[in-house]
Amino acid sequence: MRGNPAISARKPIARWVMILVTVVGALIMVFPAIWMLSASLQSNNQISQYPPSLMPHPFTLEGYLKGLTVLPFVRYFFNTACIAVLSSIGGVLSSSLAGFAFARLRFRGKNILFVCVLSGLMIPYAVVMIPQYLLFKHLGWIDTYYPLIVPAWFGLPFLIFLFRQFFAGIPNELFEAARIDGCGFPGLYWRIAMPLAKPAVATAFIFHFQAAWNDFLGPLIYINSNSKYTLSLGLSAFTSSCDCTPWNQLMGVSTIVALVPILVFFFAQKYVLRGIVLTSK
Amino acid sequence: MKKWMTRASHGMAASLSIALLSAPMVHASSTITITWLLPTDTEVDAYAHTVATQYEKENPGIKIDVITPGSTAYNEKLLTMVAAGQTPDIFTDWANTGVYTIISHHLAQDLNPFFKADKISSSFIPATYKKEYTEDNHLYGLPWLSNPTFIAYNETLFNKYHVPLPTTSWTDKSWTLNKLLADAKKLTHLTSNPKTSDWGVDLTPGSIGSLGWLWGVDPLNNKGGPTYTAAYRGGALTQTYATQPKEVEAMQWLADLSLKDHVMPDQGTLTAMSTTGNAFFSGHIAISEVAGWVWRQAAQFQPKFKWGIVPIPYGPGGADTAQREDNAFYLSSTSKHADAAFRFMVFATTGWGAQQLVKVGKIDPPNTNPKYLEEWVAGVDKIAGFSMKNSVFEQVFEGGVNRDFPDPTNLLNDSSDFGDPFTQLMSPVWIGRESAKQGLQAVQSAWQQVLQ
Repeated sequence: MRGNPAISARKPIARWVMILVTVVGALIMVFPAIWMLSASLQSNNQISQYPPSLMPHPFTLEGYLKGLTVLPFVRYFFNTACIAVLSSIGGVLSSSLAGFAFARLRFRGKNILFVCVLSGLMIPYAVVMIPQYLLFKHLGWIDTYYPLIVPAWFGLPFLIFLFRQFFAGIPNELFEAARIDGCGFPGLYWRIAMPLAKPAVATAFIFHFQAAWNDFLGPLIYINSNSKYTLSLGLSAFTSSCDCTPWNQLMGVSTIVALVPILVFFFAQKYVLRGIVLTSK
Repeated sequence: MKKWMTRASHGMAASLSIALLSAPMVHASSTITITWLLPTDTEVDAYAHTVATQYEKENPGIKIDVITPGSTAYNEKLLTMVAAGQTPDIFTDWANTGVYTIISHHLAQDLNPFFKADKISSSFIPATYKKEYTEDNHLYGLPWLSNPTFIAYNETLFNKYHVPLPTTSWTDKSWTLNKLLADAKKLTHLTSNPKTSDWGVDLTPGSIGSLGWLWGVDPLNNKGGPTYTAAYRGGALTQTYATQPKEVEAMQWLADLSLKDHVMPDQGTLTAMSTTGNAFFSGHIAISEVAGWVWRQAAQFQPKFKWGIVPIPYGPGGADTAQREDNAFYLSSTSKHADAAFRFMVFATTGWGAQQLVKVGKIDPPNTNPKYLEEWVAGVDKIAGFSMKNSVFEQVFEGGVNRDFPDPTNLLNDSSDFGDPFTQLMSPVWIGRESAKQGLQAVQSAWQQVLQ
């Protein structure tokens, strides 16, 4: 049986149009990253030229060599990694517990409590910035990493929502069978739900890791000592209000800083995509 | 379940104990800690730490906590610290947080009693800055940074188009805006290829339309130019004057440079040229208004053409006043160690500290002692393409310091109420969608709403 010849003739064209649109879209999305890489390999003199050029001429590694040594970026790297990893672990553990409770436990006021948690997503950070700062100041936590790590250990609204959606999608029969075998709620969470939740855990970890890795405002207001600076604070030292930003250094260090979340995403993308699909049901 | 709980608690304990390592160290009770907040780039950061380390070495028992958020994040940091009752002992004004915003919020204290108590003369502060930072005989700020405005010229383009270089004398009254426009026309050569196009000039309206000063008007008073009227002394403003005919004339003249005379790049091109710095260093602009940080920019962008600076030309109003961007250090009104903090402020801005401003920070400190300017000029001499003789440069630079008036946004109380509407409402004028009169009427109306 042969298909409609008119449709067959149109199909390749439609396919090519789709490919073209996708390629153009991808190029637009990736262009800032290409410019970042290109500028990191140019001299500041070339960056200041008009019209700008994407091809480094002359090709120079000054942006990397100078940029990485002008400030202690290795230390900033470890500071940032410490905050991002610890807060991500805490965020995933506590949010998965809360998400499990919202999805699987029956208790009074569950829905109201869940709405309260979700409302946390809608409050702009600027509104709570000063009260939070005062709270942490009274706790003696200013110029420490506590304000950047500890709150994540008490659950993050978006991650709680993500886990709740995922756990709600697991067939009830699995939990019932486990219960018959004598499994309590902690066992249901740890032995049944969590092993099935690898995609959601990966998604939640990546989302929070990226947010913590790139966070600027939090470290800006809570960290004072230079030795405790994070990468985003270190990068901001390059920007200058007198328009004399050393762009090649800023872009060189930014390229390296951006590599970490890209690599984390690259290695976990299989789980992340599955996690997004499963939690969006 | 037990196993699960044990695992979770071990994980939590391990993670939090790592975080505990970042807890602040408790210093011996005899140590005084002074917090010093300043906006930085990598050079100012190096200056701040050099000075702080030296001071700590010379004064055991005093610890200087240098807090250096990047310059673009400075105000957020200061605001949070002030709101939390943790105002740093020493801080500076930056961007739209001007001197009267600080004074009106009672954030700083008078420095005169400290000068008196320590028997130090404040004569190292030049008179023009003393005037700027003094209110009711109270001196609030110790200047550390000053950036006057000049006209930069691209000598290579002047030579290419056989146009004589402008004068370097502040008293030469033949150097007028008309002469500048005539030169700009000779220097403008536009082709279809942006790589081979050259523009004559690049000027700006000033933060709230202070280009009008050259026409003998000021948008916030009717005294014939910038003076320390109530507006610039943090006083209550009752009237603004954005639509004065001469202010309208000044803004229309500026808009016409690109729209009618075609000697200045249009706004789109200008934005593209200046996104990564100063459009002047693209090498395609012959005459450009620049601020005192132009040498820091040049050190960064390493121009491959010869260039220099000349005075601001005389305007139709017979004035040659432009705006000067000044910054001072302030002593917090809530400082627990005000005496020690004051001594450190003086240390950081005079003597050895001033030398570090020149050497490490690449800044010319506002100081009556000419040796700092000379040392700074000697460093400027090495900057790429800068082709002026040191003595001539010094003369032009000092003229700028003495003739300029502080940027209104550095003085006004809550200046963003004035600066932001001006920037936003005048943008249709620069692209030719509105006349200068229409733009300034909108600005005047917005300012009046602020006053109400």
